[in-house]
Amino acid sequence: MAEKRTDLLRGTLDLLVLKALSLEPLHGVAISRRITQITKGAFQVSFGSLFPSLHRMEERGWVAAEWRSSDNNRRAKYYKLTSAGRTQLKAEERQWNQVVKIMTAAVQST
Amino acid sequence: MPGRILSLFRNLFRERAVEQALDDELRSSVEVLTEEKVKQGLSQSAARREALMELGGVEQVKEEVRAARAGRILEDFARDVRFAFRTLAKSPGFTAVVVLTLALGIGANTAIFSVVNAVLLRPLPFAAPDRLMSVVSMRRGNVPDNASYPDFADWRAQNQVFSEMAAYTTDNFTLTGQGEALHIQGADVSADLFSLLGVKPILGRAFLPTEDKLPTANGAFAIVLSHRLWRERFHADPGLVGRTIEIDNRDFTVVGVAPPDFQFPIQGEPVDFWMTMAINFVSAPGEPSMVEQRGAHYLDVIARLKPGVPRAEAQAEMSTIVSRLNKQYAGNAPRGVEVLPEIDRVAGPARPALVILLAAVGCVLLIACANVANLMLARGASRQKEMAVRAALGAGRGRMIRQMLTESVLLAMLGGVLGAGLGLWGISALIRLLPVDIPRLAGVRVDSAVFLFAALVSMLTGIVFGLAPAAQASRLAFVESLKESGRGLSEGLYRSRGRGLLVVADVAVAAVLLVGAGLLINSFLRLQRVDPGFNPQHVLTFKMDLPYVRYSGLSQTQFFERAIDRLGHLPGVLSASAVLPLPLDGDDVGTFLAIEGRPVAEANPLRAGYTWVEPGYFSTVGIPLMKGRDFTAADDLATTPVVVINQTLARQFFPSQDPIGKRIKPGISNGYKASPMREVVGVVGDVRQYGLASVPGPEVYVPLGQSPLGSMNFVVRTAVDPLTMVGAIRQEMGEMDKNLPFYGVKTFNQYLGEGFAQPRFLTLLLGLFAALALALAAIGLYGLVSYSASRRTHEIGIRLALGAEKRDVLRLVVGQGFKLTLMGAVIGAAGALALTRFLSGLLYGVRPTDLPTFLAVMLILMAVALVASYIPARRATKVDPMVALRYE
Repeated sequence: MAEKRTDLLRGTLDLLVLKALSLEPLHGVAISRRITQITKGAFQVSFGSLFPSLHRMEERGWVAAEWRSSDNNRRAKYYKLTSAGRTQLKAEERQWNQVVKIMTAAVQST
Repeated sequence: MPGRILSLFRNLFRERAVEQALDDELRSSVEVLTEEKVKQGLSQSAARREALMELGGVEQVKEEVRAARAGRILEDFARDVRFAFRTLAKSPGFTAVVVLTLALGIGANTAIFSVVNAVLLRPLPFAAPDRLMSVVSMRRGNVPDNASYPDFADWRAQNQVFSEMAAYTTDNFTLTGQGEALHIQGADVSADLFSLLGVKPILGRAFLPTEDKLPTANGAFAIVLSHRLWRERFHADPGLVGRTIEIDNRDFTVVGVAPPDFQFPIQGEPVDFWMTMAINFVSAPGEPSMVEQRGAHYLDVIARLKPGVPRAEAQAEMSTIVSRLNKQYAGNAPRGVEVLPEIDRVAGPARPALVILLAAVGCVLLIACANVANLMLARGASRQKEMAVRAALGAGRGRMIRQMLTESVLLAMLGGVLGAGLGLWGISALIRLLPVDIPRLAGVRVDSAVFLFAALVSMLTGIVFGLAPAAQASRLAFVESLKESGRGLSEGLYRSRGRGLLVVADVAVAAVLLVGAGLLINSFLRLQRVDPGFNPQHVLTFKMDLPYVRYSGLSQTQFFERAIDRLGHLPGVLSASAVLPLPLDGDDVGTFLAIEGRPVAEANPLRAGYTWVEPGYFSTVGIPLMKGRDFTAADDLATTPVVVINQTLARQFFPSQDPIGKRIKPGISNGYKASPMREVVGVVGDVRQYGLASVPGPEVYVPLGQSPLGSMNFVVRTAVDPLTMVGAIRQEMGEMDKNLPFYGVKTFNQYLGEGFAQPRFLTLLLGLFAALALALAAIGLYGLVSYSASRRTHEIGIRLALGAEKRDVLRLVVGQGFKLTLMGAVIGAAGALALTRFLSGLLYGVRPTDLPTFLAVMLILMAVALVASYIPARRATKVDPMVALRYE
């Protein structure tokens, strides 16, 4: 079930969303598509996890939202990284790399 | 994170805008997704369906987002409270019944708790009150007694566990030289009592260490006045300190005035002044002073534990000291000692009754809770669909339990507010009802502790009665209940059993209370039928104290005899005499006695009550003379010492002999002056001297003429209502000596009434709570039976249509209630058997397992159950089979 997968992803979802937004502002559906794209199809984020994550990050001031017209002249809520969000992204990247390093070493140690 | 706090406010206060934005966002997402799918070649409607599926349900996503928001719990709570208010307002009848039921329970608890709080729980109003200990001298048989001064002095000098130790005793005095002679209460205390308690006079000073044994520099003894006496008799004159006032025709120097709220000793009549032990060092020529008599037990002792010393250590050390003193002074009867917290000594006697009452109101509240839970369950059943819909819309189980609990806590709070109001009213009623001999009653008031208690009880109540319905709501088989078009033939087994259990519990608890109340009522009735041993009708009593300076020895006796003579000649007076101590007044003067020709058992001497009387006492109060003669005016210091004994003494000590002419010696080994051998001249009937519930013990009566005393209670038998004679008697006494106070005016019937006060109070309240419990249990039973009868309308209709008699239906419905009651009654009886032994100390003439009382309670319960189930049962028989079958 989708829920199980998001549980697995809980720690990484915020990082992926921040990463997805690091190039340009996107709306919710586009963020989902971008994540699928940058993970080469490995992760498909459910909207039931994506939207709560976005709203949480908005409340924390990592992303800011505004209503804009999309490519097809449709109004949609676009999210963009704030400077706090960029700092957070860097911090999470660093943390992630560290986890990966430690885990890799641990896994290879035997 | 200010952003999150800001969001919290936005979420809470601009809820609608936030919700709108979320809705817009999801809507636009669906459109974006649909468009994407249309581009992939799907039809518009198929694309939309796919889009919705990919999103995973708009409402579900919304719920997920809401859960992630800041202040979610608060927000939910606010919503729940609003919703609960709306729901409750929609069913005002239900709400009113629940709130009223709870208010009764909470109100009763608040009222009783306020008394328990003031009497038992509130710390003593002194510095570090938990280190204040009472050191009690115990006489043979481990009976608490007073201490003698030499014992006290040795305790104080030899112990290492107390930082301070003080002795005190109270006495009656007369304030003269300040207008009309006024009877006042005074206390002799150790000089360091004030510093021990941590109390400073508001004016002047406390006693100096030297004043413990000596007068002040000007030769008069030092005293500290109570604030009340200072204000009422001395017009709050600040210049009084240092001046001399006259008490009992003796000069005292006022050294200080106590703070307004200071009262010590804590129990008993408030004291008007304090003086030091110094006065006890003075004695009549040739007699030992009080402080030299190790056998004169007249002091209470209070002490302060040194910091860090536990009570057990103090007890061990005091026991060692006392057994050393027992060896050292082997001529005295051996003593024991007990160190107990001062508050236990003060409040201890009132504890059993108050604890029982608190337990009883707790039971009433439990029954109220069970009733309300039952109502909520019944209501929950009709709200099944609502719950199922909510669950289908994404409400989690925890979320639903929280909402149900909010509703019940809200109900409990409403009940609590109303209950607190009832409690306030109840407190004032209680104070009027309470027997005066309960200590610290004046402190009964509604304070923060009482309010905290009421609030806590309300909260707890709400959770207790809310849990069952909440659990039920979360356990529902949602799909079933949505599918179900209406009610089934009969109710689900599980729920009706749960509700039945609650009613059984109701009845059981009510049965316990009823048995308790029944026992107390039984005991009270027996107590009222007790023959006190005298005839209390038309007897007036009052007290007079003769100051030692002006009256002593012979002149005391002469005064009392002259007074009795004058009283006897007043029109309306049949006869008059005097006595000390007065029966039922609570005074206990005991003595050891020796019988001529029999060895005195030093370790286990014979003990008897000791009463001083004037001639004519027995006939005045109606104590029958069984044998021999009464005292006469001729029995004085010049003639043979005589004594009158009661029947019990005659029976115990002279079982097969004629006691008249035998010689006994009351007053041995107590350190008083040598007592003479006395000849028994009469035997009188037994009197319940120390209270109606007390078994009469051996008593000796000694004529005042042979044992002069300065303080007596007059007894006057009148032909008319004794209280109409008070004015004439007061005037007559004033003519004899206008500087004597005239106080303690009461009829014998009033004394008897005071003896009934405590049992009456307890009986009345427990009876009231038991009645309340019975009524609540009956309501609960009625509610259950009529509810289940209405759920079975269909079934009953079928039965009637198939030819069942009304009688069968009646039996069916009543049977259900009857079975539940029987179960409850049996469980309750078993519980009562286990619990009533806690009442045994308060019962007179009834055993806690009294079978008739138990049977009566069972009968009452069954009768009430029959009535409570019969009413709904009759209604059920009125069912028209056709209507019942068409119904639904």
